[in-house]
Amino acid sequence: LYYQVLNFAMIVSSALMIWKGLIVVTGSESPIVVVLSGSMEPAFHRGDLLFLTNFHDDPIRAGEIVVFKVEGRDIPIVHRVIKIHEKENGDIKFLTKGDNNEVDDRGLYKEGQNWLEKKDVVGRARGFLPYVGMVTIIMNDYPKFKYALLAVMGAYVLLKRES
Amino acid sequence: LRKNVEDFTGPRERSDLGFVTFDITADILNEKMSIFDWNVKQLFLYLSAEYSTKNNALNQVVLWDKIILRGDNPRLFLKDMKSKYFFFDDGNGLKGNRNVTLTLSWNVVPNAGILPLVTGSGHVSVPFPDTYETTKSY
Repeated sequence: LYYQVLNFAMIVSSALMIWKGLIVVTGSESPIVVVLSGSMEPAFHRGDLLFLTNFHDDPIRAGEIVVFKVEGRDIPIVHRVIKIHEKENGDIKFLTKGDNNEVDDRGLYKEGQNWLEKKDVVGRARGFLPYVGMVTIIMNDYPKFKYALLAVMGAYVLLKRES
Repeated sequence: LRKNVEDFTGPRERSDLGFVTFDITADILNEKMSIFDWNVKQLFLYLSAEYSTKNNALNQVVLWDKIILRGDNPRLFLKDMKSKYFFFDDGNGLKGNRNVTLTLSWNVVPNAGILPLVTGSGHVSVPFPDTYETTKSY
């Protein structure tokens, strides 16, 4: 039993190391995100997975797809940058809009906020996989599914025999 | 890819607002290879204006965009298009600005994989006049 607990702990810590390593390598606090809404259709649909980078020296330019969080909210939003105004010292303010939305995102920002800044950015979309993120959405909408999945995984690891 | 434009400006509250009309002729196929390969789902085309002002060293404003899906007609003949979005400056930097550059760029959206952003080669410079238009039907 001691061996099986160690085995389980190794698996969990390896997964954690890979995730943390990814955060360091990409520079983003959340290098993999799931698209939650249809506001970027037909490019991205709800359930698609996005891979992000957030290198400090990467400039933000019009046309890029960025993932950002509005101050005080936890939900990452995936939209396109449509306007930037950058000062010589690198301070930048920018406006975003979902491809599938009629209007820009000012309605989503904080009360009185008209522009986003670098600090609001979680990362830039560099690659994507369709549908794969659906698992996360299902687990959020149907928590029983999440517990069932964790129970099955736990049971599998504890019960499997090493030959 | 070619574009040509004419323009005039008008002040709104305290910021300059620019109006630009343009033509775009684009041919996405060239003889041997289309940009629509097996892994391309759509192209997101956009026309952006880039310029410098006293307030801001770099400004970029997307004036117009279009989504081209796989299977759509790959040739574009757009004439006398008006900008889709308001071309506001952050201040009064458009007045008399001789160096506003319009560039066409596009985002290739694959079925799965990397998302490249490509800027078209070639761009058009649009000088803005020194005076404001006070009334204009647009």
